Amino acid sequence: MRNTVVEYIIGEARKNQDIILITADLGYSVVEKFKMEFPDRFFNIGIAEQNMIGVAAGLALSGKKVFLYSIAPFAIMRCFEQIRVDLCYQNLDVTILGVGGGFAYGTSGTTHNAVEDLAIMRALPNMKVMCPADPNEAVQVIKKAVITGGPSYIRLNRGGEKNVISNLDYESIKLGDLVEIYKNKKNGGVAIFSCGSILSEAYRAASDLVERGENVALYSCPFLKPINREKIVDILRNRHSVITVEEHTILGGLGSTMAEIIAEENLNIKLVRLGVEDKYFNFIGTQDYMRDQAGLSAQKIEQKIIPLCLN
Amino acid sequence: MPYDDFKKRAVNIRKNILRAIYRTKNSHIGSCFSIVEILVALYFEVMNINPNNTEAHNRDIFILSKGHAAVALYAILVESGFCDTTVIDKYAADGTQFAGHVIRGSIPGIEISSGSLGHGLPIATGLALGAKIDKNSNRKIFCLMGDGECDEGSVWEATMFAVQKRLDNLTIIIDFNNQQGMGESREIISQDNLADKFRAFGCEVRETSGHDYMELTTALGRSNNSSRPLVIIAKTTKGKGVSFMENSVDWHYKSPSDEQYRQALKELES
Repeated sequence: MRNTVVEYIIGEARKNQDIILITADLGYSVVEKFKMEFPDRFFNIGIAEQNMIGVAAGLALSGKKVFLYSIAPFAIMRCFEQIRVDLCYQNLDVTILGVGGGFAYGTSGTTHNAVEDLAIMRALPNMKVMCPADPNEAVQVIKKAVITGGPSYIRLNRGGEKNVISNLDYESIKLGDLVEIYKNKKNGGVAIFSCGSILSEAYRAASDLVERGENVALYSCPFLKPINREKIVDILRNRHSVITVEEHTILGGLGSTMAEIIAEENLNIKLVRLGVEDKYFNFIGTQDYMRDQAGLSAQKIEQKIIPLCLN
Repeated sequence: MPYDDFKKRAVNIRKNILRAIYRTKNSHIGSCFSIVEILVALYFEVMNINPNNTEAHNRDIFILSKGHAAVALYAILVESGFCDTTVIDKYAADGTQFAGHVIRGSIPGIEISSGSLGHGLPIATGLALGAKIDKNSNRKIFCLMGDGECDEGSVWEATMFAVQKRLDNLTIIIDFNNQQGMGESREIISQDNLADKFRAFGCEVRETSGHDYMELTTALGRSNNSSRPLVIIAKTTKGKGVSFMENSVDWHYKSPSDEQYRQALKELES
């Protein structure tokens, strides 16, 4: 996913002289291609995230279009107040690429995991929050970030992921839209909403249920903010249950967004939020292992959906 | 600019600051008085700016990193013709953008929003880098910080980067008044060796009085041929110009009473 994104930025940088890429000394074997082609527009700021945000703000004020690359918790949490004041308050054109979303660097431990990032970024006015599921979606959201301008946070997983579904038409997708993967076959039934690369697990769970004839829909939500509320309300209006899946704390991310929409739109529907419990794990493990421990493996997701299908 | 004009402008600015803060009781008056001469030197002698073309592509940029000295910036922008006195009359009024910490775009010439310390220098560094990337730009960036502000780690992150990138178009000015929110800097985090610190980080450092016209304009105006960022450590007096405010930490937050206002005005006009 991260390599696809850097390739895309390189392509844009060939067309747009103002594009700058900055890393805070991370991205070994990922960002070098950009540096090779545009040595004057690549900066390794050093291990100094506060300065990275400030310098990006200064460059944006000089008319540059700035991309920042680092591991998610360092890219946004160490320098949160700089993001708030320098980027969001001043509404500057800076895109933060946070790699290692969720448990992507699970064996590195909690310091390197990002399961609170979406909630934190979502609270900031002007900030667009994006969490693509796979390389295809990543390119689509970054395109929208480039066109829209202003501050964006894009949570990426890491390298080497395959596209969850390869034959989807993304061209018509607008900022905030959902990606429809399975549609409900009739009224009632369950709608599953997934955010980020955990889609691969949600997709396996949903595919199995669809094969078994259950009335299940699956949507990927690469945009968390803004999000197409009308479309969601449309989908929920005829369902009896909705389930959200995110590799993120259940506080403040996709599940919370859904709860807000359901409450404010007076929808009479059951909501189940799957995500990371409000605690730190005192153990580490691979992304698959950590997902399973958090109840986010395909099998565990499916187990949560089945009782909803019986309604 | 003749010395008398310099003095006159400084008095005008202090009177506007006093007026705005007395009326609203929304202070930081000591911090404002501390930087008046620095601002006059920059706006009337040093910087390439034009109040009639505030978005000029090649203009020099002033960054007020110590955003709590907002009223001093409003007053210099009035004095140098960037705006009228509305900003002084409506300072801190409901519904305006004339805040106690500056807001970008609230009036022409305010280049960034600041108020949280340690933000200005990284942004100034980015602006200086931006000017270097645009090879035909001869823009200079001037960033004014407090000595207390140098407690912030981000100041030193930015300094290291500015030195690494040889940003000689960046001038960092330290309003060195040895006072911060809760007391004397010397008693909190001493910055007595600040010149040595910046030198050790690789900057070109000049020390000057922060109130003497000749010294200030010489230090700020002499070209920097070092290929390093220039740091001007300007020794200032917090509350400068009003005897009972000078060097007193109280006047970081305090605002003058009726009696104090009258006395201060008298002193400034004498």
